[in-house]
Amino acid sequence: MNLEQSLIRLRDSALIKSTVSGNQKSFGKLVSYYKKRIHTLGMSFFKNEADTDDFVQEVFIKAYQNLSSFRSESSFPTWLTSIAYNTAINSKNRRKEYLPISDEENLEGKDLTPEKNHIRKATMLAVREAVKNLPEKEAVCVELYFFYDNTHAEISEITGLPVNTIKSHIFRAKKILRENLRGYYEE
Amino acid sequence: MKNEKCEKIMDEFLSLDKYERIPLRITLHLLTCRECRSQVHYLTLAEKYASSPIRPHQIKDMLETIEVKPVSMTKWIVSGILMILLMVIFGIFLNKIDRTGFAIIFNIMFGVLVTVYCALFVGTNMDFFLKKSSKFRL
Repeated sequence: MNLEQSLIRLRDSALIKSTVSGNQKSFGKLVSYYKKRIHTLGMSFFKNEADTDDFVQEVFIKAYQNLSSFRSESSFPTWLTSIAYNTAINSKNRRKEYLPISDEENLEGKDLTPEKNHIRKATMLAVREAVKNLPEKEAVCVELYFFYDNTHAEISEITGLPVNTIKSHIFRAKKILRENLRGYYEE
Repeated sequence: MKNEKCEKIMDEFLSLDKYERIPLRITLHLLTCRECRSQVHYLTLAEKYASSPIRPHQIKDMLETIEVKPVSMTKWIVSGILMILLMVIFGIFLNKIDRTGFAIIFNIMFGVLVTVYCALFVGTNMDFFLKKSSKFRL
């Protein structure tokens, strides 16, 4: 865990304690930090704004209701993503097919320079190729690693898949990414 | 790819987890192999940029909310000067008695003292240093 993650964990822990003791503003802050993550995951399952907004609301209500049972063994975003993933999987409104966010051409990093965005697109192409023929659950694993910043163990906690299965899919995606980036290091 | 060793090292690197420390064996290879070093550099950047739209500068936002109090230097300067004086006095004392054993012990002791002083200085003013250092981050 690096310094940034440690600080984020401390901040989340303080906000959770404050929420549990009755301060709703603190939960509002948590929502503002993680809304985009949940919304992006929701779009992959629902593919329309209205259903995704309902989904985001449902996830945060569930998180709020269960916040007192949150234990700091896992990080708050992992716990929240786990709630979101299970809610999406079991939702009646969801699309039959999961649509990977690597298929989203418009999901660009606004603050990134053209070169950085180009590298990012190479990553998206690699992930797209890696998840092309994978079952939904395994495709989600690769995306959770690259786009949601989760570790192997966290992905296993969210999806319930064995760590070794997750590792092998991510390894394959990284191999494709390495080939896609060849133009950069052979300059 | 230069040879089998490079391929093996790159496979090892690719199988690392997010934020996992790079093993010494890989680091040593990267110091000597420019091509692998370049690949690792771009692969690391690729992972960083991939998650950037979903994780937009949380640390930066956090640091913006921290109010940086001016660091009071007086007590640090006084204790620093006292520490240096103590070292000089002991240095003179050690020169007079000419005992190597003592000199080693006192040098180690002063080394520890300076380390503790610096660690306390940075540790107790962590918010100040974090805020300042974030300005130089890429």
